[in-house]
Amino acid sequence: MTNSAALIAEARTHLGGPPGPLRVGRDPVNLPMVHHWCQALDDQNQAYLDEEFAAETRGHLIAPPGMLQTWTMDAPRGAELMGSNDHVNRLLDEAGYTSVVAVNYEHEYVRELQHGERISVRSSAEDLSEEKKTGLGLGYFTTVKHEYLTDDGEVIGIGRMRLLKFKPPAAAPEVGARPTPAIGRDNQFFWDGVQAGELRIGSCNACQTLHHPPQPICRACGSTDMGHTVSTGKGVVYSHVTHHYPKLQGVELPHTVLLVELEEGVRLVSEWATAAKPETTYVGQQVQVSFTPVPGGELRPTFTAVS
Amino acid sequence: MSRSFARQVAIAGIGATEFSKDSGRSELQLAGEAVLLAVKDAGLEPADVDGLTTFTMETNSEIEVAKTAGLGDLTFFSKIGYGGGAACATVQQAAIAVATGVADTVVCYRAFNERSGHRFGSGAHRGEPTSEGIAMGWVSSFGLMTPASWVAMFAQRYMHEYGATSADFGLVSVADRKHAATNPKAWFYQQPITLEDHQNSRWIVEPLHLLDCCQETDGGQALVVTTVERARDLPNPVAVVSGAAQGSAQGQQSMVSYYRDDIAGLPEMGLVAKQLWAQSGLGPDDIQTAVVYDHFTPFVLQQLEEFGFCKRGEAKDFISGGNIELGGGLPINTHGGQLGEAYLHGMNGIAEGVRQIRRTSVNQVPDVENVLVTAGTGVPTSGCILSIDQ
Ligand SMILES: [Zn+2]
Repeated sequence: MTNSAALIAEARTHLGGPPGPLRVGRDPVNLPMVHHWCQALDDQNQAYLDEEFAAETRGHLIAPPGMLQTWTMDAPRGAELMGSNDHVNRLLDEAGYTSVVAVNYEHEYVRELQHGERISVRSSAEDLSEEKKTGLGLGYFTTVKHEYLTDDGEVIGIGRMRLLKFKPPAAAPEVGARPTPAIGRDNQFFWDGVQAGELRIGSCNACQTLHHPPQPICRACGSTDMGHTVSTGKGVVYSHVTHHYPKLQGVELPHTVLLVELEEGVRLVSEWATAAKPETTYVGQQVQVSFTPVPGGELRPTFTAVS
Repeated sequence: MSRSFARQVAIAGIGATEFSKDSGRSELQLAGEAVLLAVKDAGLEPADVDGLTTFTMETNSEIEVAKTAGLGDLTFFSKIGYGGGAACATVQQAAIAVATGVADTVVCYRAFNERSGHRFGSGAHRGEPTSEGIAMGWVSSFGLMTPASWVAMFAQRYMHEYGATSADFGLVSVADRKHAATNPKAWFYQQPITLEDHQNSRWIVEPLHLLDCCQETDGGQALVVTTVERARDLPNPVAVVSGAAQGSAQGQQSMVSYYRDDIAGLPEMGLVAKQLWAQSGLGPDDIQTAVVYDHFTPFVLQQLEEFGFCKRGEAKDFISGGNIELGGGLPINTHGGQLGEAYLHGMNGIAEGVRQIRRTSVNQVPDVENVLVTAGTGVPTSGCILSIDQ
């Protein structure tokens, strides 16, 4: 998630931007759907159901305003055009906020609808909160503006949907959180690198010898001038185990642990990226680093198999 | 022969970091710098150091300091208890080691951030993790948390390099349980197993089955050591210590030495073997039975190779055909080992070595003259050879 902040900043540039393509409702406003609605909600308003009463009071039958959203449900959409809302969602996904839950939906009604009118909708991004800590996880509240229009382009209603886009919890709750790495002065750079999306290897500034695990003094030349280099993240499985017993905190069983030999020549203990665990693990398997959360949500350098 | 080390040993180098209230670096770095400065002051190279001694309260283990400072293979390492009371005892233990030839160059060290880090007067421990904690964090934070899993990683690589199989590991388990079956003191008395039992036992950590892993035990074991002369006046046949050695090889870590060039061997045990053969003047052909540390079966194979009972990668052939069982060429773990008798961190194995020399083992090997006993594998380790009194 190196560029999480950058992705969010980019998402903000789309707020108030152009809507996506117009999506046209499948059926015009019609009595059968109104019947279903009124039955389901036990709404006996005669302006919706009784032609005579409606003619007297409104001039014609009207649709329940609350049905605004239903007229465009399942409306087919073209994939080629991206509106501002699609961009915001895409960028949040890329930043790791891949799960979504609806928070609330507000309607604003311009006028009542009568049967036979065909309704279309277009959506745009209106607002994006700061990052919030919620019961579901870290996330952003987004506000999507839906404009409902008739065939002649008249706006007859506006809906504002607030969604929570959040990072899916990485842990099945029963396994608990993975033990945190022990971080001290001599290996802080490694874990900072993980946060920055870099696999960093300790290296001696005097003689360039690489050290993993890192150490404060170069064992080759005795220098205390230690820095680091960034690995390509390419390597091979040097050895591996699959843990079955006993249960471990923060580990979903069975759990395969890899000893990876990086192409720079150093080895590190790691594991498969949870979402990309291959069917088999074998010595010599080609792997590539990725940075993914483990149970509890902390990032680890993990690996995926490359063919 | 004089039994004193007095006037045989000298302090040849001293080295220290600056003394401050906030060193600004890790305790490991302080230890490494002090050791390197002392070595330099002595006019030696880091690789000349083959012994380390420190306090049990020291957070920088000998192996972390050795690895960091680029020291050589270690044949002597010790930690002394009781806080500041250990200070001059580090010199005493170094002197004993050097005077007896156990090591040539021993460095005594102590380093900490007692002011800026954990203050002894502050009660509960807070602050920066120790270098040992960091070393373990490299594996535990990826879900590699148990001794079985640490050993399994070596075993998988060994299988890959030499074509050994789980069934080969199983032969060790079968031999141990066969011996335990006739040892009334053994937990698994009268409970032998077959290779099929081993293969059918559940996975603990692939490639290790349940029956590759030793049991857990409550118990105690002690040994009395005195001079051979004195022992001759005591009631039991004398078990002479023909050799006893420690080994910590370059790049050593505790259970997870995964970063060395070759992880299919046990170089620390090779270091022990070299010393034992040199001290005793014996070789593999002079050993009639061995107690080979068996917390997990795979490392038994590597140990047999490191001691030269067979070539690298050939232990799977050496142990086949009942060769490590009673009646075979090298019966091992005649008490049942830690898989069969009890897991007491190897101390019960030394006792079995003594019984073999006394000719009192329930599974006595005929005509025993010398017994090899080894200690824990995957860690800095040790071994000894016990012999009959000639
Ligand atoms: Zn260097």
